[in-house]
Amino acid sequence: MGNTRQLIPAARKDELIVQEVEGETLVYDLKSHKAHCLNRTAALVWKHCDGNHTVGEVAHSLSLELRAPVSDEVVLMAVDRMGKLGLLNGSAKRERTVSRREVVRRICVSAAVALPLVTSILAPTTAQAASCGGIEAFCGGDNPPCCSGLVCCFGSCLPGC
Amino acid sequence: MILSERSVASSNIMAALLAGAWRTRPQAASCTSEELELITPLLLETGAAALAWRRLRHSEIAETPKAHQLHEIYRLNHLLSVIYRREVAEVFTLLRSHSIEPVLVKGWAIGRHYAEPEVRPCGDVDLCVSEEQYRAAQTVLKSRTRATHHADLHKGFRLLDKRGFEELKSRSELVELESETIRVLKPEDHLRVLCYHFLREGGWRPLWLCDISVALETRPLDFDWDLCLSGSGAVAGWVRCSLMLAHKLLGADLTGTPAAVRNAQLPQWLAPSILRQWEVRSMSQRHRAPMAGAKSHPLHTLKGLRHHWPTPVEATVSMGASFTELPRFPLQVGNVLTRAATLLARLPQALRNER
Repeated sequence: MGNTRQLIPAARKDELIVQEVEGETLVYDLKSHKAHCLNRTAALVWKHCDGNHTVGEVAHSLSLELRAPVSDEVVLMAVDRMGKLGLLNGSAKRERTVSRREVVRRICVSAAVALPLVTSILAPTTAQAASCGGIEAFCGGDNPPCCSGLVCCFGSCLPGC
Repeated sequence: MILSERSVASSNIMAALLAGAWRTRPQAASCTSEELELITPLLLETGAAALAWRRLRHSEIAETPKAHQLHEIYRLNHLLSVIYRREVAEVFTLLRSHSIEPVLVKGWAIGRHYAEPEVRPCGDVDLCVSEEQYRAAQTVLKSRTRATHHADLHKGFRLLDKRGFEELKSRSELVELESETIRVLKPEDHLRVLCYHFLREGGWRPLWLCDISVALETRPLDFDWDLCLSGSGAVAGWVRCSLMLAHKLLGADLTGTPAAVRNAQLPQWLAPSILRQWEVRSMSQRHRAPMAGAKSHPLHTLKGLRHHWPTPVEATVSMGASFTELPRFPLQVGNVLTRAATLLARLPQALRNER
């Protein structure tokens, strides 16, 4: 773990929407249009990934904040997952990743600290979310109905037919 | 169980689950996991999933797979609402930069009154502008190439209210959003617009009845009922019926409303008709198989033909009639003839466009 301990992960800041809801951190990636949910441990790791601190230092910060021992593996597990989802700037990506099962096997996890969990939220496309189709939007079939003022004319929403 | 019984059963469960879900501390739901299994597709399709989660999260079935699906939508709505709010503000900034003053209706204009505004999904940005500014606004909005939410532009309020744009605009209010001021209707006018829109669309989305319940329960102390219920007799009756439907189906609180609202009599057929629409969603299905598309998608149009028969609610409103116990059939025939005439009038132009 010697090399990985010196890894300096940096959380991505641009083109993300971040909301804290009911103890979870929700992140929407405006580039990929994907949404993710971070549990408290993962959110804390992400918060401390400021591009100035190593994995070891992040683990130490988390230990202080959670008042429980947090190993480097726990931080690495979160870093790997967040890296894969594009929530970190490129430098933190590693070839060798740490799986959740690996961490559970290797360390005796304190009951006080939940393992970091980053899950993806299934996001519907805009077309699915919209209640009606705008000008020149496709209509008919499984497409949403045309917005008021528009009529579905031979497969497209138009002001008149 | 035959389809119609199943429809009403599932819609009744959905109504019970959504009752009061918009409030600050909604009661935990008491439905079973089997019932939730039955109505989850309806909740997802009608945009009421996140709202339902507010009643499920402290219930005994909060950990079931279907409840998890609703929780996911709840999370997603929280994020998407941020994008929506930004885009509403951007649209106002954009239109004002061209000296166009729009009025926002539905969407965030009512969503902001929910105890947790993010649970109210907003698909489009519904904007009303004056007839004179309509074309210019259309042109300006075409420049929104990167927008996520479609701006649904209305020419005045002609599809939402019988009153003129200038009259409603003169009473409208300005509210803060993302460091922009957004013009919204006065609560009295907005409640009437919400009721009219709900009925005009055949009441197929339970979320719209939740909107009416929210507008009712969050109305200001000086709410002017005379203003809200004024106008032609039919329109005032539609508002009263919508409020009574919100009360009967979703438990909206009618305390403090005028006797005309509290004592409104619903015809026997009205509530069952609305409940059936929550399952069948004829209006939505009809737009997916338009008659105008018959030439290019004949089979698809044929399959959707049954959805073109108007619902009793839609026929009543489209023909400007009142909700009474009288049969709706003449109104439904009238609606079909009117729509057929409109379609035929547009046909020559459509054929010319095709050539």
